[in-house]
Amino acid sequence: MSFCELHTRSAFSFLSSGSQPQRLAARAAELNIPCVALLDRDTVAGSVRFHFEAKEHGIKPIIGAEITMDDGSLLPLVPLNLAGYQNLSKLITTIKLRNKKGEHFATRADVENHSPGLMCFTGGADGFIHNAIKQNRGLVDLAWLNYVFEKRLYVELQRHHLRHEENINQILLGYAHRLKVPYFASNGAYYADQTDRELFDVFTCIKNHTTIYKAGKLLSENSERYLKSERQMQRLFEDYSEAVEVTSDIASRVNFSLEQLSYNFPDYKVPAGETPASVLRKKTIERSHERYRHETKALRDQVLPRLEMEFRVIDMKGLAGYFLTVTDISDFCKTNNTLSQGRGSAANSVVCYGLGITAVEPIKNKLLFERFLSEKYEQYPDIDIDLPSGDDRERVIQHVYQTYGRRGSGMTANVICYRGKSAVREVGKTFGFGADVLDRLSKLNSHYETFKGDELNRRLKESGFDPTEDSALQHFANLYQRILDFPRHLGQHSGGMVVSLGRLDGIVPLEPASMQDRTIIQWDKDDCERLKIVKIDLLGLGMMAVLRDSITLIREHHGDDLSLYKVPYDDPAVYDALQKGDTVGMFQVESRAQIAFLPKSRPANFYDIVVQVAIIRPGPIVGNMLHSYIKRRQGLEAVTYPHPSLKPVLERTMGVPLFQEQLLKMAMDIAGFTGSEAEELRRAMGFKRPDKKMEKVGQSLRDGMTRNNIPPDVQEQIVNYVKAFANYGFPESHAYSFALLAYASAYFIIHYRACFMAAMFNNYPLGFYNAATLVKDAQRHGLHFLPLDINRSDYLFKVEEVGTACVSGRPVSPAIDTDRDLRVRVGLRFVRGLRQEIAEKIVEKRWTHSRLCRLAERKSCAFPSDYPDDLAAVPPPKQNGGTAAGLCSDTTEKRSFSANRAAEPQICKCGWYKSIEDLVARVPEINKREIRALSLAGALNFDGHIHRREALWQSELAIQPSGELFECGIRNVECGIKDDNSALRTPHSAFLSRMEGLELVDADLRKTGISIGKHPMAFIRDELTKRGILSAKETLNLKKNQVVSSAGAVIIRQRPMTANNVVFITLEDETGFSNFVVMPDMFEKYRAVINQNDFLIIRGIFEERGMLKAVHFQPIDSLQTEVVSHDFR
Amino acid sequence: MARFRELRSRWIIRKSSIFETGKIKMLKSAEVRLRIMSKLFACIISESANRDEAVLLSVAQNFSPRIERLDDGVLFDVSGLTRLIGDGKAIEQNIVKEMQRRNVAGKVSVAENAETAMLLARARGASELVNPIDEFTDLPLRQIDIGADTLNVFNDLGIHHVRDLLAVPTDELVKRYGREFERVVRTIRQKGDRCVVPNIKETDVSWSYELDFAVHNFEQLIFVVNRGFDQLFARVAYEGLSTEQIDITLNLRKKEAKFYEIKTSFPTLEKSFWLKLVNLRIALDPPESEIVSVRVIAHFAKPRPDQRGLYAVSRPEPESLLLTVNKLKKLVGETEVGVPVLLNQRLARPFALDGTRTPSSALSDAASRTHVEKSSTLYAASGVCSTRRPRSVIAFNYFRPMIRASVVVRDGRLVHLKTRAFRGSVVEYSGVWRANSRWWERPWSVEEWDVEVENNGLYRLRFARQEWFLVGEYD
Repeated sequence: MSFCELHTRSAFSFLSSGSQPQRLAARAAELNIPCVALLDRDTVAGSVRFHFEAKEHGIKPIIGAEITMDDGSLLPLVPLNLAGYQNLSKLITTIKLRNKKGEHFATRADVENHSPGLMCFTGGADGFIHNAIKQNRGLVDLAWLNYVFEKRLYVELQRHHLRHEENINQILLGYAHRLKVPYFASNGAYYADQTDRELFDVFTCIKNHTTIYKAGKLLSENSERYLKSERQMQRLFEDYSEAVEVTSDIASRVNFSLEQLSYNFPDYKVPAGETPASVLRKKTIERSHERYRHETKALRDQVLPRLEMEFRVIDMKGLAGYFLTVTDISDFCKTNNTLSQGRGSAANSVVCYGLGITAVEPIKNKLLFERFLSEKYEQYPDIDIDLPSGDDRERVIQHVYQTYGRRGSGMTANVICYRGKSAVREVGKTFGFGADVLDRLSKLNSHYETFKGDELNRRLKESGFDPTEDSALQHFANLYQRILDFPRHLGQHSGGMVVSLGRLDGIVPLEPASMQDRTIIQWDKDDCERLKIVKIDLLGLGMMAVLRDSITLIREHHGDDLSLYKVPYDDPAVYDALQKGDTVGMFQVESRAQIAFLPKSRPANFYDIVVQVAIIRPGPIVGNMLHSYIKRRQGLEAVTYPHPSLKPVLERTMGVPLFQEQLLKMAMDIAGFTGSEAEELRRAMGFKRPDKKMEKVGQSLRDGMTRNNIPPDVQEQIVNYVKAFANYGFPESHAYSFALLAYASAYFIIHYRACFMAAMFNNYPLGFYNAATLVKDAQRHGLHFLPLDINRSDYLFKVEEVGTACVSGRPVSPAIDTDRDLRVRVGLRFVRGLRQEIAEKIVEKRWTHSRLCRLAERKSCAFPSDYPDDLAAVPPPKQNGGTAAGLCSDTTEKRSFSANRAAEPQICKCGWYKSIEDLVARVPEINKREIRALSLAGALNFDGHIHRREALWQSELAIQPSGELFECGIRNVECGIKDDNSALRTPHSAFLSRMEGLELVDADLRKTGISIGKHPMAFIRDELTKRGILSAKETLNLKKNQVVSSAGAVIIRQRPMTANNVVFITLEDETGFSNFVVMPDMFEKYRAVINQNDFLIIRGIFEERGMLKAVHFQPIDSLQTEVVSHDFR
Repeated sequence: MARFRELRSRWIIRKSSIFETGKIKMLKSAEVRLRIMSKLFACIISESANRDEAVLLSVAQNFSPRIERLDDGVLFDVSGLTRLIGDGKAIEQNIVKEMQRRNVAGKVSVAENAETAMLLARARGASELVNPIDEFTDLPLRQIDIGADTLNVFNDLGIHHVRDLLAVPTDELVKRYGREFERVVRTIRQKGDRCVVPNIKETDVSWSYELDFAVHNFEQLIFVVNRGFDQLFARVAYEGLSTEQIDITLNLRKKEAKFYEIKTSFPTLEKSFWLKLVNLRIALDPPESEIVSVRVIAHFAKPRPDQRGLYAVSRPEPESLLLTVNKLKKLVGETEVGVPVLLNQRLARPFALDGTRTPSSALSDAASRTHVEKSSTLYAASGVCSTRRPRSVIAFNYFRPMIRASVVVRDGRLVHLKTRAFRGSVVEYSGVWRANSRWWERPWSVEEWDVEVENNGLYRLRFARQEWFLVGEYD
């Protein structure tokens, strides 16, 4: 039999190999090697890719791993059977979970305990026995291995044309004869081809944090660690030909394949006499009555038949346990007042809706159940649960860990790969490029941008690098291209969790994640899917947190008990705002592109929002479906269908395919594909590079269409749809779920702007715009913000009602507010440099003193001197109750505390801080940077008694360090609260000028990132008006081809991949936004001006509603404040 | 006395006014005396301070013997020049003229205070050469030596310039920033007490000679250089120092000047030794054209401690060894002589010759280092203290250059080997051993075999460029 390579290492050994596992398998097939073993270092992360690639090429894949021993050497272990694999997986899990990330090792006891079913090799130069030989205990250690593995130990001989190897080989052969251990030949391949050695050397440099010039003897001696053919190996081992021949016998001993892994979803515990299916049925029907109670009879009549159909499929697939498990998680969220919403294709199921997992009703919305589950599909269902990001989500994740055990559950891995910028940096460092060069090089591309053809060289030349004259640059360019998509490390998936019946570590090794109390499995979501491992996605969504907090605030301040399900979905104000594109802050519909297209598509009902969410995606844009849809929507183009048979599929989207479900249905209807074939088509088309699989499935599609007499031009059109869609198309079910959140966010923002914006800022950062832009937009809509105040602001933003709120001691006029006279008080969380614990302590001390004060009043005695004793008499804060079951919550203690105080009457003024010294005395942990930040942010103005610079000047005195040099300081203030006038005891500060105008705005932006004062552009408006420069509002209604100039802060610079290097710029001023489109030639001409300036005057030609084609750019030098732009830089 | 105090305060308050032309004549005699008594400092700041260091020093030397070299220029004391040249402004203009004459760019300032002079000079634009001293109050605070943290606070307080800071009461500043801040206050009030700390120290002596007639050969110059060395070494010895580096610049008629840097690993003033060494060095790389002038620089070094005991072991003089090495270099080429040093690089030739090291120290260093490394490895590996001696190694003798060979290969096996010196059948061989690297610059690749030739020993054979070579012999 032929030579089998029994020892290879792939890029999943991270920085220790120069080839991807798929490439190793493919190369083995080219060399007619019938069987290859992949033994990555302490991992099987690359095994699934390797396995399926090898199977594809008809070769036998063997999965094993090199285990790091306590002396740093490696012990190659290969499972002979399923038990062996489970032992290997458990061994890796044990050593990984025992120590800190990256510091794992196995002891001899670990190896002994997990040896059954495993075969052991002595390894190569970094192997366990090689190391032992160097320390003169080779024979003893080999004897130990022989004892542990009995007849499953093999001495491995490797030859790489290196003199020093032969000595070790001879010693190994001597031991083998002496202990009667069989031996075999391998090449210990680290890469597939000789040329991959260069990449391997680069990885060596990255691993050792050195350059290729300084790496010296860390680099390979030669390029011989590539996959070698049988002939090459026979020639290399012609003196030990039996060592080559025996490899096939060893390979044949391996009787394990990844497909043997029988993953079982955990059994759901049911009462005696019940089955999971029966429990599911009962629970679903019971809950469906409640869900459909308010629906029409016609709809209610359809529910039961649909449920029966779904039950049948679920029973057939044996997935009742899975549904019940997900229901449990969903119920856990409700019990713990955690807002949750099922998403993904699960939204197509009435069972999921009935159980309360999803919020979108599928019958009314005509959602295709087959997209979720089909008798024909081999695919397992995918239920995503959206949770508020942060603590709520973490609690649900920890609940899953607790329920299924640390070794019974884990997050799916996310294989972090070398992408544009990381590839540039790492390869650049290898070639010794300095920081400035790396910065320049990394600006050549965006994170995910890759270069085709000669594009990289062209960009290099443009940036002042000439690869033709510099060999280092040539190698850099070459290796940069080659390193792309190589795995860099394992991260954790954003939310995918796998749970298993019994121990999950018997299926896949677990390892600690970077985050505390989290473990990940070594496979990513695609690997899991290929091995039919069901995962549950627990995804954090910032908007969910915003909605959760909004619901709480709305209940507090408006008394309205809202939830996601109780929002009226036909509110004209919402559709009016959407049709105007007035959507800043709204989920999924706030981007520049959405705002540009909303006035054209003019959504008028909920399904239109579903379409809107799905349409601004690369797929519809690349496939030119966006423009077709818009024209048809506007009545400028007739609604036609590629083929009459497709009318039922495409009718809802006016003949334009927009959703993945439509793609599947089209393939099924027009080409006679089965459900699984259609799914296969979607997957094949989803691959980034064209391959045989894609060609094959594409041909099947054409064949199917030909059989159904579809004309060639229509075939071509449909294939183009499929191509455009497969990569980026959006599932309708996802769009529904997102549309629900988009609508809810729109409804809240329009009717409860103060509450929504407070919630938004409390969960910031999220969304498309920076906080400063959100504030300005809210102000333009009539919302008033109250400034930061050490005595009034909480850690979080809060809503204050007129009458209770004061600005600088003066009551605010209630006449101008829109949201029931509510205002948003800026929270301390936005003060840059102020630690959360200090901010919370500031608020807590204020509150505590207020209570003490009341207590003192009640006792009619002086202010308590002995705080701790008196504090004991103060009743504890009330827990915040009364939230609507299941949907809103006040989750963390932090929030409860804050909300309690917000709900209370105004804090007694005697709890207020009287001066900076008082603040320092009551919160001694505060440091000078924090107090300076508070001063400059305007939080220490004490109702206007002192201005910001005075506050800063005083704070410099209050926080000076102690010591002889500062003996004249006044830090030793005992308790400032006794001195009511200390804030007024201003030291001599006449030399300080008061901050005015733009200075104030600048200080706000620098210290908090937001300003509730004037927009910076307002300060130069008069000058701009004199120069004939229009405001943003004035640019909205111009005549076509009119040439005008507008100015503003650059808040968006976008260069979408789908726009052929066209750049979109949005300027903001006090009246709103002005949008510009910049053609590539114009962008190249003004690249530096555009990229390096925060404020611009742009001259443009008006093209269509609100969009100007930019022709000239000019910076505004007089404005120097912080502007955060959403951009590509 | 009261009058003096009054005058002094006027002087401080209106210190700038004395530079205004014409007004000085109106000063009363007491004021003039005060002015003459006061200190005056000049500062030149130049972006090319390192490159033009000599020129800047020379400019400064024209005005003062008290010069302090700064990282970015020079500071010098020009007190007393008012009688000779005029007021500060006049001195400043004179310095500028001198700089223009010497074609050196820089920013100049003259002030009563060393710190003020430096600050002003640093703050000025490159094109401005003369500015009134009033500009000091307009200086941005970042020019003053204030901590970044405090500077940021001042910026936030709207205190950007010296003028703004002068308005802040000193005690308020000291309360906040400590007594250390008084130093800053003194600086901005131009009361700093910094002095010029002369730090110009000669590091070498030079001698040069213009020839009446150009000569072709350096040997013709030996007599002249001999005399030059006499003068040079006398000056070195006068300083109580010695030299271990001599730089020779030969100005040539048709070519650019030829520069030789000759170093020894020990200081010596032995003229005959230096002459021989220089002669050997120049013979290795003779000038391409006739020599028209010669310049020799002897760099100072501490003299060699040369105290030998009565019973000290007699050792060869290092001078003799160095001369021998240089004679060898002359014979075989400069790069072919030196101490072999193993390189931490993957190269076809894994060692290099270090011509600057002395063999004894190099060998003993290497030997001791190797021994220590091996011992520590053994110790670490075994976990116990090892008393085992380092393993014996097979010595390998490199042939320089490689010996061309012809090899008979039959059925892919090496059978017979022939060189100019010997021939014989191949008894045994191992290989092929492959090595290659440096793919990123000058890639190299070698294929080698170890062959035992009948009755002739064990050799390393290399196949390169379609030819066979013997690389060396196993000893």
